Amino acid sequence: MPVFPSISLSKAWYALIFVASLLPAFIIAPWLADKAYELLFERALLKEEVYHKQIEAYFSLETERLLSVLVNKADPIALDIGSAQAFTADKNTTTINLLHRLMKREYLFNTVTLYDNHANIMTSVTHGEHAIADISVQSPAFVVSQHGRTFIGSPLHLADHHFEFLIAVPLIVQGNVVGSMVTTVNTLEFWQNIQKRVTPPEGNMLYLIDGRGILLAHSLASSLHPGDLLTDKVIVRALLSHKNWNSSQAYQGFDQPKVFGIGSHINNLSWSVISEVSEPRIMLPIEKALSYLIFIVFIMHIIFGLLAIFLVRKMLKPIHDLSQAMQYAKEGNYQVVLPHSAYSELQNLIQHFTSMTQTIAKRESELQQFLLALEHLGESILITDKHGIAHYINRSFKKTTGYTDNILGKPIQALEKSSMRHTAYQHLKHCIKTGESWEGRATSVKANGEEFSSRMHISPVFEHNNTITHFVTIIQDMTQYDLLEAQLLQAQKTESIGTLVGGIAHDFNNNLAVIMGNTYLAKISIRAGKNQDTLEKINNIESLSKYAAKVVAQLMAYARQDIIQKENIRLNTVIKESLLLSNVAIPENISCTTNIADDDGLIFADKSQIQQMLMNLLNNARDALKEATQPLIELTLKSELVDKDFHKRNPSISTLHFMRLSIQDNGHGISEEVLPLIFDPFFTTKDVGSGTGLGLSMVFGMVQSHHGIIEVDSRLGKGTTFHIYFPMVKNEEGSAQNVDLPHQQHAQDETILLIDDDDDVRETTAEVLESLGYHVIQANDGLQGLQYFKQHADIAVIIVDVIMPHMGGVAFAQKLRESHPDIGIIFLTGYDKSAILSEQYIPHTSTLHKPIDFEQLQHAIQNILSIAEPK
Amino acid sequence: MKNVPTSPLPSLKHTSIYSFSWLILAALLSSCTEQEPSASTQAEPINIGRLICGGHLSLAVVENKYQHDLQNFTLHTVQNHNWDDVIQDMRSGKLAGTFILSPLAMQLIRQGLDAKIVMMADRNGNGFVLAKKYKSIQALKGKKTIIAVPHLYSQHHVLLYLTLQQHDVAYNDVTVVAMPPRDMISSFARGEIDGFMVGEPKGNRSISLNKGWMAAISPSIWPNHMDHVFLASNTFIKEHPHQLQELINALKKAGNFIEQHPHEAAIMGEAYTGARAQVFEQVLTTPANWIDYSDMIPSDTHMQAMAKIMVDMGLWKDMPKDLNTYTDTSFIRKATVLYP
Repeated sequence: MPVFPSISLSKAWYALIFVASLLPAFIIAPWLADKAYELLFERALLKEEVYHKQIEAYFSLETERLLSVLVNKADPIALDIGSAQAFTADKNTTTINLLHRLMKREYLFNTVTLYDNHANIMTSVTHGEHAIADISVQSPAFVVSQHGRTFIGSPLHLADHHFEFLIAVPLIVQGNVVGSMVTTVNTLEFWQNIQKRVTPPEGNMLYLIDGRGILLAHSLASSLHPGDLLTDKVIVRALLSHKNWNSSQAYQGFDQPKVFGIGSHINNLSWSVISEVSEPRIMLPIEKALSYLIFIVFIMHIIFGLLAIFLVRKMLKPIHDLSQAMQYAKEGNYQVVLPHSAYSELQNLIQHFTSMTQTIAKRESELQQFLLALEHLGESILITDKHGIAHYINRSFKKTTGYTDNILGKPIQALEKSSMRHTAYQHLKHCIKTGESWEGRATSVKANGEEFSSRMHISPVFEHNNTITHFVTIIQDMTQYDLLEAQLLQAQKTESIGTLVGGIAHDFNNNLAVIMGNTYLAKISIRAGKNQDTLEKINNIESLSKYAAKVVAQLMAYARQDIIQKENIRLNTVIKESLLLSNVAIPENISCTTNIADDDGLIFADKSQIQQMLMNLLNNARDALKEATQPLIELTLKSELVDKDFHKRNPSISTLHFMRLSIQDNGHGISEEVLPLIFDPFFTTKDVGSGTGLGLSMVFGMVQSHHGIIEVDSRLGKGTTFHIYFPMVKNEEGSAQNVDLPHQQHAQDETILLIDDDDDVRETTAEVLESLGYHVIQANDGLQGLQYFKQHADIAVIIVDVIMPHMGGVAFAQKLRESHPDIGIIFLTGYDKSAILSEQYIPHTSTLHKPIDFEQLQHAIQNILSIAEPK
Repeated sequence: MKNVPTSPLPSLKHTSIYSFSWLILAALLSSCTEQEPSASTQAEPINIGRLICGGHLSLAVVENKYQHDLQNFTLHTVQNHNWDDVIQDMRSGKLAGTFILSPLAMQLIRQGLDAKIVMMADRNGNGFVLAKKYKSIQALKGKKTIIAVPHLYSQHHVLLYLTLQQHDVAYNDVTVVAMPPRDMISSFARGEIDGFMVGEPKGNRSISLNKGWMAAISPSIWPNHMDHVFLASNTFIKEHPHQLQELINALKKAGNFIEQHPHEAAIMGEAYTGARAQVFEQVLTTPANWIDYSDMIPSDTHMQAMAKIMVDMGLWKDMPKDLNTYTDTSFIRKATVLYP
């Protein structure tokens, strides 16, 4: 669609007014001018028309009058005559006197002649020397009057050179026509007599013509002569056709070049009267009037134009003000007060606009508040469009990530750069595509490339038509939180240790007592030479020592400071091991039952955290059972395929296969008011000094860090059950427990380099190895070990303590690997092996815990020897 | 009296534009005229007499439409006041020819006028108007009525005579008065006469003015009777035969045009017939033979018939022996060949 350049509304209005003014100027004005001309023309000729009407009337009246005069005189004359044959001038003096009186009274009669029935003149009276009409028996005047009828003839040019017309009346006595009285009337005098009675308009030329088109009379100024035939004139021809003439067209007049004519047919005589007025006489006033009219129209045009401009300006002012107000509103100023408009539509517009700006101002204020809140929110906010183009970042985002406003309008790569589990990332993408919200942990990347732990919440923003327009991402920097959580975990561990110590000390004391007892008995047996008894006691001591070593190993694992060391573990094994440790914290008065399914399902988890969770939950259960009459803790572990309801409750889950760990007690239960608060950090219902309020909070965090779900069922007075769901992973690697140990082989004096800074341990170990048939070279640190290794080329296996002064086991191994990448190394450590060796994998090594299980050591040595070539 | 202007009044501006346009057109026409001067403008004028009469319509058509056919002379029509003037002008030689009443032409020739009837102007074309008090022509029987005719030696008088005979009205029951047709209607309206036999469209105009009724039209009295004729002086015939032939040709052509285009012809002859166009158009068309401009040859049969009735009426005491010399039909016969 073409886009036309916009023009000012006022200019458009002025143009419209101008164009609209052209309409009357070019269409209406000519029409009005025509009408005005017509009216003025008719007005100019109106006097002439009135004059003609009067002339017509007087013609009729005058001829009737003359006829009446004659008829009135005819009767006494007829009586006086009696019969035509008897007429003599001497005898009929009455007739003669009547005729003379008639002629005296009626000067229009030029002659009066009496005819007998044979058209013979009986007597005649004349004015002056006027000639009488030439009447014969065939003359219409005679014939008609002889039939007892009156007759008015057409004008005739008589012998006296005058145009006269005849009036004939019969002379009737007792019903018999005895003669005819014929008068001649001077046409010119007759015309002048009528003219005396009617005032002709000034400046016109008058012409009287008969039915043949012959001029009978005219104005004095005319150059024509009576008797002229005027049938070559159009106006005369029209009148001869009994058509009046009143044309608006000027024509060549009788005496003037351009005239307007009025022609009237006088019906009773078939004569016609013509008035001719010179064209200038008609047109000059008309043109003058039209000039005035044009001037007035022009002035009116100007006035109306100015008025229209004024009205348009007045009408457009509110629109201009409105436009100005919109400009102000665009700049954020909504406080402009618009003046009241006299036009209802505009006033409505102003009211609506004012209302709209007030609403916008209110909404903008609210929006500003929201924006300020967003801006100052502790969480980082990122708003992108559906294509990932950044539209908004708040202050916290900038502070956390180091990004600036420069990224606005650019695609955000933070998510792509964020590290998270593949399944979680796929889930995130799925959620975004389907318009669902996503929440989860991720490692985000700052502007400088530094990674940080974060929690993200990504929500789509929908339009009215349910299409996604934007995404709002809330990023919470979890670095401090994780640190705090670790500290809390450590504190919890420390708290737990207090509980543990009592139980462990009890167990250790018991163990030590048994060991000491067996040692005492062994001595006695040795002295007594009872080797079998001695061996039995020593086996007891060994068994008790192993148990003690196991407890110590678990304590070490429990107490280590690593945060999360996840690996695929068999939960039932871990739970079983943990229960061994936890049992010491459960008073013996509490019945503790376990229902652990023989399921080898794997979960991806940190074993120590699992142990910590279990410890915390058991501690809570224990604490809840203090007042229970028959305290009971029931632990259940089994794999479970969760249902749709579970999925609905927990839409963020990525699998339906879970290992469910449930710990149920029949303690006092948790009230509904407290239930929502139990996972809050530092929330506790225990007495002061009895709990930190961190236990369940840590459990909750740990479950979440394992992408697990924790649910609580609790009824006050009935007990509480915690359900923890751990997502299962595929059994990709075989259980370590299923790995077959290499077949036990006897030593063949292979040389072993044993490196340990603890002399007792080293010497004892060396003594055992030598007793097994190995040749042992001892070194007290890594440096010395390297030195001995160089000196003894037959060393087949190296057993090295991990933690040593000068050079530890790992550094030693790395150094040694530089020259001997394949030699077998067995690490010994009193710490958790993963804590020591997790950072760098060193091939052809194995790790054993202290105190050393010599059978395992033997297996490890044999295993190395079986796969490694001697040096 | 007031007539609404027949053409729209132009504005001053329009008037100026129209005037300017006409000036340009006039200039173009004048320049054309200068380049091709018409022969007729330089030709000798020939006066032809006529009266205001429907029978003379063909001359009006020639004057308005076929002037360019007249190559060898300029037609100048002279409208006379009455038949006496026509007779006088023919006798004086002022007119080379004239349209005239056929009995009057025959009477003039018999009286010695050196002229011949060279063609008929029309056939039929007359009407008998009676006052409304006379419901039929028979009603005139026994009444002393006055009937006007244009001239005593007129076909109208002959027709009146015939129709009275046809309606068993004694000729003596009617007083015939000769009166110019222009006076008939006003005289009739004043009651001076009881009716009139006249050439159209006078009779029909009287009817249109609601004065009288049409008692008979001439085709019903004497079908195809000779009406007006064109009387040419022998001088014109002998000295200007080519001009006369041109004129007769044009008149024959005009007669054909009238028959084929009665509407246009009526408008064209409005000023000649003395009647409004629509009145005369009705005469031309309803009935079709009321007035006829075809077959303009004044045959001996026509002449004999007219002469016989004139004798019967007493207008002539006897039949002239040289009646065949009263006519010269050679011109109209040639024209009829050219424009059948």
